[in-house]
Amino acid sequence: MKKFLSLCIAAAFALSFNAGAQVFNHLALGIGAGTDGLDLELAAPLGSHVDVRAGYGMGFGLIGVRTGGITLPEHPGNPASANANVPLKLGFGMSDARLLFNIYPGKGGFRFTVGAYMGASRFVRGTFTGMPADYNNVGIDVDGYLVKAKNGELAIDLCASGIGSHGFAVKPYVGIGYGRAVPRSIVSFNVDLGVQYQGKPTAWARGEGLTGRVQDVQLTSKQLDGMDKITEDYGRYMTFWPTLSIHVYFKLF
Amino acid sequence: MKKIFLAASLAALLPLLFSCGKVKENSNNFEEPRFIQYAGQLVMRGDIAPAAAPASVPVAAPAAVSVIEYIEFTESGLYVVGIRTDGETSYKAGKFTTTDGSVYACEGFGTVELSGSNPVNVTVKRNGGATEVLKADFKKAAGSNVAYRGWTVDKTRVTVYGFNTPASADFTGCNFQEIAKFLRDNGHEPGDVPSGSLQSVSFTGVGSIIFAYSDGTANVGECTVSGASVNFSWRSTTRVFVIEGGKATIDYLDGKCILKIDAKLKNSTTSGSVTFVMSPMA
Repeated sequence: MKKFLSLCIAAAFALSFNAGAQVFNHLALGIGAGTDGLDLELAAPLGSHVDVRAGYGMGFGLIGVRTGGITLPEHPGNPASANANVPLKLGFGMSDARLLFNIYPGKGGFRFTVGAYMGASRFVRGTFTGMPADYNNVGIDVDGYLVKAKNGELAIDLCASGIGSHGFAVKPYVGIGYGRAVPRSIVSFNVDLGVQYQGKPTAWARGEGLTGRVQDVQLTSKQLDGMDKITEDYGRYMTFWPTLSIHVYFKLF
Repeated sequence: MKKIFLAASLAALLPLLFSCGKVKENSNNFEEPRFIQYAGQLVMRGDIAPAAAPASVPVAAPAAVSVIEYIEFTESGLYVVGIRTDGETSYKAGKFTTTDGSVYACEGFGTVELSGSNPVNVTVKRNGGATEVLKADFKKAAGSNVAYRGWTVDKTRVTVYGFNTPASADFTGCNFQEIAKFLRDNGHEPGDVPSGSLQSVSFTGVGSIIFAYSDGTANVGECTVSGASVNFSWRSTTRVFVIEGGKATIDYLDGKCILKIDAKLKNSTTSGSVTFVMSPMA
C-alpha cells in the first residue's frame, strides 16, 4: 500500500512538472461533507493536470444511530446480579487532516484522487448510555488504567491506524471523482468516491491511571471476554472505509 | 506574494496533523525522610520483666501480663511497639518525635529513652503506667533504598478475578468496609471485615514492612525490597484484611509510590490484586 501510494504521488508530481504549467498560481477554498465528516480544504494547482488539496475534516459526534444495546449485570464483576439493558449510540468519530492529489487525465472534470488522511485513528464512537450506577465506580483495569463509566455513559472507540500508529494514523486514499478543485470560474461542485485503507480496527476506551493520568487504552480479550472475536468478526469489514463526499470550491485568486 | 500566502496557509494546517499529549516523566526524587538518622529497631532480650501495673489500677482483678518485646522507629517518624499479652503479640503504631536520638516521645504510648550500646538500656514510660527498664539489641536502619520510609495511602485499587471479566474499583484511602461492599456486590464474600482503614505503609532500613491502621494498631512483617520486587511475610495476620503475605511490586510514578500486591481472599479461591497509591511521609 505504501509503495502504491508513493507511486501515485510521484506520478502526480511528474505530470505536473511535465506539463510545465503554472504551479500554485491559484488558490481555492472548499467545504464538503461526506462519510469522512465535514471538512474545510484549500486547493491549488500543480500544473494543468494535477491539483493538491489540503484540509481538515471532522465527523466526531455526527450521525448518531441508536441501537438496542446490550444486557449487562448490575454489578460488573458479578454475572449473577440482576441484568440491565444498556442502549448503544453509534456515531462517526473521525477527526483528521488530509493531503490529496487530484489527477485529471483529460481536460474535463473526471479525475483520479490519491493521498492520505492523517490524524486520529478513531473513526467510530460507540457510547453505552444509562449504565447501572455501579459502573461509575467499578470497571476494568487495562495495564494500570481503569476504564469505567462516567455519569452512566461509557464511550468505546473503534480505531484503525492505517500505515501509521494509534497516536497518529495515516490512512492512504484512492478514489475517483468529478469536478475541478480549483475552479476555472468562481465556483465548482465536486464529488468524490473512494476508499481509505485503515487496516483492521481495534477497540479503545479512555482509562484513568493510578496517579490520575488519563489515557486511551486498547480493549482485548485479556480484559473483556470475547472482545478479540468481536473485533475480528466485524472489524474485517471495516479494513477499507468507503468515502463518498461532495464539495463546493470557491476560487480565492 | 500569492505563493507565500499559499505556503503560509498550508503550513497553518500542519499543527492539525499532530496531537500534543505530552506524557509526564516518571519521578522518584523524594526528599530524605526526616528521622532517617534516628531510625532503628529494638528487640528486647529474653530476661525482661513484665510491665508493672499502673499505680492507679485497682488490684481486685489480675491484670493481663503485658510485655514489650519489640520497638521500631521508622525513617518517617513512625514508631511501632510489639506488646505480648498472654502469648499473643499485638502492635501499636503512632508518630514519634526526638531531638537527639536518645529520648523518643511516642504519641499515644509514652516515652522511650535509650542509653548505652548493645545491649541498649531502654527505659519505657507508658502513658499512665510505671517505668520499665529493659535491655535490648539495637539495630540501626541502614540502606539507601528510596522505598525505606513511610508512605501515606492516598488511593487503593482493588481487582478481583473469578468470573469472565475481572472487576476493578478505586477507593480514596483504604477503607475496609468500602472495599468489602465492593467485593460482596461483585460476588465475593470477604468474611469478617474490621472497621477503619489502612493509613500508611512503611518499609524500613532494618527490613520491616509496617501496615499502620486508623485505630492505632499495626501489622508488622519481614520484607526485602530489591529493585521493583518486594517479598514479605507477616509476623501475625490478626488485622490483615484481604492481603496475605507474598510478593509485590513497587514502582514510582508522578511523585507517588505504587505498591501492587497479589492477594487472595481468606477462605476463598478468589484471587485478585490490591494496588496502593501512596505519598511519601515526611
